[in-house]
Amino acid sequence: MNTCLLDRILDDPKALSVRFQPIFQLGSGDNQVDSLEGLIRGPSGTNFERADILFDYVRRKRAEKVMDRTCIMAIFRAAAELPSDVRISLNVHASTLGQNTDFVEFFRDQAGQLSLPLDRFTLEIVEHSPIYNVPGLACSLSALRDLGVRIALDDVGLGNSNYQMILDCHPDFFKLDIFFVEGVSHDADRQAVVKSIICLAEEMKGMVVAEGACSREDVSTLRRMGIKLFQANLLCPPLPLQDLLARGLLSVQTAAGVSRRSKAAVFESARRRLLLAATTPPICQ
Amino acid sequence: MRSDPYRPIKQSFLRFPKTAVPVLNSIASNLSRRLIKSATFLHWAFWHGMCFGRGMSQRILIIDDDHQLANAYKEYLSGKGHQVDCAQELEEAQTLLMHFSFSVVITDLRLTKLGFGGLDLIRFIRELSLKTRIIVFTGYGWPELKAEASAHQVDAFLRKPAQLAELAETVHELVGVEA
Repeated sequence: MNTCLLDRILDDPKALSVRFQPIFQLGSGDNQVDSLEGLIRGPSGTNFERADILFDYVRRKRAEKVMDRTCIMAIFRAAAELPSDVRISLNVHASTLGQNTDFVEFFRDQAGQLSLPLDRFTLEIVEHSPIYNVPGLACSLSALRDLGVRIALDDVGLGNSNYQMILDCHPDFFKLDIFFVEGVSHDADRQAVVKSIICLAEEMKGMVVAEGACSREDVSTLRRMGIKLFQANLLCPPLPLQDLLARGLLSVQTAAGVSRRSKAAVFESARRRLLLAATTPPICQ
Repeated sequence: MRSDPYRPIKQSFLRFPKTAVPVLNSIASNLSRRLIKSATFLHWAFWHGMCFGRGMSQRILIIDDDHQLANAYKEYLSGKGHQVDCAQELEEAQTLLMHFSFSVVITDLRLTKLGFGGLDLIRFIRELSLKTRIIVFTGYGWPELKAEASAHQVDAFLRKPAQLAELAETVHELVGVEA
């Protein structure tokens, strides 16, 4: 059958898989999992399993809108298996929000079908194309905020996640890319850039999330600079729910069929384990 | 005062009998000769391994919208020890080329029923790398297309459908020599 890869991915509900990566809040003695980011992987065993390759392909096909919706549905289905108090972040292209007038309805309807409260979600805005519909984006973001959805800006400082995008999105979370985080402990220029973003976030009543810290020194430096939220393979890589269970990060009782109350209790204990692990990185890898 | 300045140092330290000295010297000499031989062999093996490696196992990308044909080529070339990836469309191929390094790209000129994506792909490859060897399938006999492809330094043209052995031989000819 001669169908293109995109059609094969969209037609097969099992083609995409979901991983969750914890975002840790590292404070003074009260480290905890703040939320989980839902991440998509392509068809298993293929070159397109890697998210960067998959989404590069999707952008070349100019299929961000349809792919974003498919990914959101997949993450919603996976999120339904998690305790109700766990916050979930998921990615969406600015162009999807800008061009799709019915995106907000879609988002609300899909969450409603699985009884997922919308205030559990944070939408992470990504954009690789310089052109997007700014008024449409503002309209969608406003409607999402009214529903309780929080907004994060991914890869702040890189590509199209620039000052203009910061003003367009007014994010609740500024996600610092690994480019600025890696090696920050011994690079004064990087520290200056990070400091400026921290100031900007404070002025705009937002929080900074440091992504991809590769060493304890970088984590310590960023903590000293005032960053509390960390997402990094050093702390915990993206894992499927089953692997989180297998590694003892979550109890087996979180499998479907357990009441929401007991799931929450189980997740609380997992949180404590993650908290313990987060204080002594690396725990996975 | 030392009577023989070239006397092996071991003799004075270890106090071997004089008769043992030539034996020990011979052992030392043999050992060093063996070491030199081993080093020479390793050097030879390294360079020849590299050269053989260039000729024997390559990463190859096959682009053809005929899934079955592409898979047949893939199976055959994989059997020859190459690492082979397939793509059915321009965007899929461009994505793979951006993320991986291929020694050889084998492409059809006509990738979609509407256009000639193969030429776009050849231009794309040449913008990325001049080293990648490009083999083009031609089945249409349009000289102007072939001329344009040649202008982008296509390394070989094969008539489609190419014989498997002919394809493997062309790949070997192109990558058997240093690019």
